[in-house]
Amino acid sequence: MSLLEVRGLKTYFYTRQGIVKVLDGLDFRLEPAQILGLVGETGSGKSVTGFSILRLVPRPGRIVGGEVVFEGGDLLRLPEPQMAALRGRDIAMIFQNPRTALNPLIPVGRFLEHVLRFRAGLPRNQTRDEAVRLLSAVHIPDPERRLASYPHQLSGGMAQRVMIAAAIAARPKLLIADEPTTGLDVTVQAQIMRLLRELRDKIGTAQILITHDLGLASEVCDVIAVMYAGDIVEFAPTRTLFATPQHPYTQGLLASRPKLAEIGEIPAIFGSAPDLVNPTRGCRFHPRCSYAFDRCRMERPKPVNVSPDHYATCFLLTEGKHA
Amino acid sequence: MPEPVLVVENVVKHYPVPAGWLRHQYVHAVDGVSFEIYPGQTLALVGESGSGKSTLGRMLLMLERPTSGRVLYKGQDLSRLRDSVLRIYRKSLQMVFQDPMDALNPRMTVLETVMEPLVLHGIAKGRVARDRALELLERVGLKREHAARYPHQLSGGQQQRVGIARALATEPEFVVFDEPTSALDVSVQAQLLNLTSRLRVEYGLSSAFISHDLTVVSYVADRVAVMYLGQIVELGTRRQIFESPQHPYTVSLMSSMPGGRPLMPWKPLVLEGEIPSPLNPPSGCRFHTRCPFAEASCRTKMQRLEPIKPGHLVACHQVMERGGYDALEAEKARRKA
Repeated sequence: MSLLEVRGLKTYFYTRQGIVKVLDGLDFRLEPAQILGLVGETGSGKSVTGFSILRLVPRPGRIVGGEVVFEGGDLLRLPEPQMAALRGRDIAMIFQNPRTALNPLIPVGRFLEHVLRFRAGLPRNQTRDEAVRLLSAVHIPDPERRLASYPHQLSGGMAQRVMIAAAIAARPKLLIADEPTTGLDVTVQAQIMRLLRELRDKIGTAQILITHDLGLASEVCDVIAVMYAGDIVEFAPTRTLFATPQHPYTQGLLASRPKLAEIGEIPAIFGSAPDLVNPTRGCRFHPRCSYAFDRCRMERPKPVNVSPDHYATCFLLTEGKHA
Repeated sequence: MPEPVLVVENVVKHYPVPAGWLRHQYVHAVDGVSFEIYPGQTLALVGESGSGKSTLGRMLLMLERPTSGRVLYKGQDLSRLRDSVLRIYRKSLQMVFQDPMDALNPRMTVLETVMEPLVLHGIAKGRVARDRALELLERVGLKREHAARYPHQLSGGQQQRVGIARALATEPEFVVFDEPTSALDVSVQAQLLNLTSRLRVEYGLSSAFISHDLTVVSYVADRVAVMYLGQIVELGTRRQIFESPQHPYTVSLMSSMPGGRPLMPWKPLVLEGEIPSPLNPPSGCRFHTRCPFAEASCRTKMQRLEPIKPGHLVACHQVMERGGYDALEAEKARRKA
């Protein structure tokens, strides 16, 4: 059984300019102990997907349809108190800018002990030792002393480790990491990514890594879902995606990443991100696609399997006009 | 060899920070940096946050005055000029900023923004300035319809195009690009990088390109200076830096870049700890607290940039003694075995 199955998820934002259908029928699944990368550019709906799973979509957004099946039960039908108990215990989330997620007035130790008591249900006399153990599990040097530190005394990388420590306190089965290393330096990013992979290998935490960086996703994820304008345009195991990308957008993304020590023009994708208030008819990518033909302008494509675990949402695959 | 456009000699920037009553500590933002930039060339300044790359970039244009050291533009020491005299040079020395939304005046239209430097420097006015500005907008890939818009009506990529058009309006000889694409999505970033490369050739610009992203740098740079805690640890041509990095920090920076070789297992040389505070930089080699090869001598020995090959400078005595990074790494592997 899959750990998580998202079926036909619809999350709309009711803005003054109109209804923005950020997610309009999203499907994907995640197996236990798997790391899935949700990759997309600004406005692709990747963060909204993360928030929708936890039912934390900010106003004026609302989940209006679909199912989020976690361990066999639909989270969207769970009464709010049960959902609240599940957050942080079964599914935890970490964010970009860890310092804004930490209360500046509460020392790290007190924060972690609180999480351990109320999320993990640990008795009061064990929380301190467990907090120390958690801090050393995320490789914070001198954890005993760090318990007394306030968030402003931590570097960005250190603050993100504290957030990860809090997120894994109750041993969740799923960790959603929303751009966890954006804003951190590359050498620190490498440390955090090593840590996330370690969590999966040692305690089997399944993860959804939300990122704009396809390269980063390729380093840590087992499977990758490429998102564009709220749709998953391609889904495949990481190696397959890089070796044989099928969707023109994936191909463009892969090509437009500057590669080390190459010269000449970068094959850029022309145009800019789509307008979600007035989405184009047909395939949402067609205005930027150099392969677009008539059908792409009229009809919305459906996912087509190229192999059992690899699909792309593109007419080129069925019409035989291979990209 | 032609005369360099810009010569930077032992530039230092210290910022005082109050540390108790009548006492000051100093942030060593940039600590003794020297290099030259030749006509038509781009030097990339690469480093992580706190490496001093942006402070250095601002000092090249005297937006920040160095505490000591000299910045020579065509032989003229800019650091000694008064602001009023410096203004004459501003025409030839321009900057493109990281966040275009911060750099553009929200109350000015695109056209006004690009016309302003033309008028201020007395290059053109009225109709002529207007036509020049429209032509510039076209050259950076904006349409006529964008001219009347305000910055908030543009996408991030378009805003940065305006920033570039404005910087080029005075036909500068030297431009500092401060992370011009780091706020943009990958697909837009690629468009902008192609644009800057093209314009650099068209205008014969010399430039300094500041970035934390080595993949970006590999596209735009002729030479690369890798910075760590206010100092240059390695300087060389693009080929030298990317094909045979010599300093352990450069090696780890390069290997930490995800997606370099997507089908190979990612094995970054992961550093321990984080960049130390520039308030209190480590003694000896500033990198020794994180360097996997550090030994006792690194804690005391001051490092100097020395040539390991013609034009390729490294500030690591261990690498120098062994004749290269590979020898250093091999020796460590042997000792481990």
